[in-house]
Amino acid sequence: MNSSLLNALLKVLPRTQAKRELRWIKNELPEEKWEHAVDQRSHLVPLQYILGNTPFGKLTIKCASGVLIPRWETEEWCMEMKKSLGASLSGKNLLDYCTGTGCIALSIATDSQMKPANVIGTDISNAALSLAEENKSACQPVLSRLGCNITFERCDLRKLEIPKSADGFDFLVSNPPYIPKDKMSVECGVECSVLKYEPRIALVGNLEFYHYLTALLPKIGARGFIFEVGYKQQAEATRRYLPNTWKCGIRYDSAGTIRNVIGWCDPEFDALNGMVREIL
Amino acid sequence: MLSLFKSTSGYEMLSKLSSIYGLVSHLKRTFSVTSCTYNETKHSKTKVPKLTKMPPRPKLPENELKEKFIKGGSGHGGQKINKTNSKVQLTHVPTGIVISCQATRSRDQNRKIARQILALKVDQLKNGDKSWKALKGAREKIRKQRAKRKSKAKYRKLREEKEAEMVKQKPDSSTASQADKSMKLLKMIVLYCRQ
Repeated sequence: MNSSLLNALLKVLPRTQAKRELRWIKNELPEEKWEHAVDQRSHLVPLQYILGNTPFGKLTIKCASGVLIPRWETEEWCMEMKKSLGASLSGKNLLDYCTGTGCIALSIATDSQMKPANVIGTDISNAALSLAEENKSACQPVLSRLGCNITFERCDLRKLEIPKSADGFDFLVSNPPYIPKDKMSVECGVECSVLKYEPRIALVGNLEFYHYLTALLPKIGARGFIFEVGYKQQAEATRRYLPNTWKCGIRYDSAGTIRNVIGWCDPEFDALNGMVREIL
Repeated sequence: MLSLFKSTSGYEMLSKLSSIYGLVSHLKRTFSVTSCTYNETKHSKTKVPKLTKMPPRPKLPENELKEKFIKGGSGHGGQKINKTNSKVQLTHVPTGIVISCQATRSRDQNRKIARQILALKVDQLKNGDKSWKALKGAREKIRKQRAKRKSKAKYRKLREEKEAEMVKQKPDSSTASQADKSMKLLKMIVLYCRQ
């Protein structure tokens, strides 16, 4: 049985990865579900959908079909942001646009050092919002201990909708869809599993979303932001949309790929300089 | 002492020094013997701290570590790729020891585990027999020995009790001794007859 399970995975995965994933399936699922899980995985269903969750920093975030799976790159910048901003967000309001599973919002809200007053996560997808709510209730003990309010709300970025749950915001974070439509193919480096099973609404997008996000900044009163990007032109466009009084820079991830555009207009957030490698 | 050294030749000085050293080492030896016997009374031969007095688990300062996350694959990433890899590679810069950890799906968890493993390795290299792992191992050995000794003593006691019972039972079967006595009597009679 063991070898037949492994062989099924070997059809689609390299050997070490297949072995590792089989180990995780066996560790995390009851035996009667192994066969079905391996069958799904051999049809390229993402492992996180099969196991139902993914680790994100100290949290375990629930994952479900229809909502983008949090990536390690996002986890990485989120942790880095917590480290460099530290307590400078304490008592402040933070908005996470395009929250998806709610991973970024929850990771910040449950951090004992950051201690923001309010964290609001918004998304256009109802599936994402209900999953974010589920993830929130899993974190409830920590949230009530830290006294952080976290709310999820449906908002459409294209209509520049502002959440009603808070008066204004000090900081904006976002992981908007950033794969251009013409790049949505295996040839352009998109994984087959992503193409087949992850929601397009969370993936396909380009400069327009960075335009909306920067337009949102003065409307909500935010004085700093971190956005995830996939291409340099997205970061450069963000710089163009920003007033000259803002400082703005690029961050690369540990794989050496461009990953964030970071900006602020308040010396309070000068600590963000530590994340920036290239000034724009 | 100094004048003594001055008046003597190099060789003599060396021999004197060595004799002093010998005395010191002799003292050391006797000292260690006494401390060992002290330990003997506590049923252990090596100097192993008590379970409650074990040193804390070794830890390494972050500035001595170099961390690398191995994700593999091409330059693409972010939303395009959904990796399940969470391997953490940790280098201890001063010694150059490298380990990697992919025990769990969580990178956060793997980072902690990797730090523990690396700290144990560095400690073992630096302290050898006195490293935390060695002490822990010795502790475990002592615990096992004690358990063994205890069970041995228990079975010995049981055996002795059984034997004691057997001895008690023996006087009841006096036929054997009676046969012995009659045998002796017979021999005496034979002897008497010959005379």
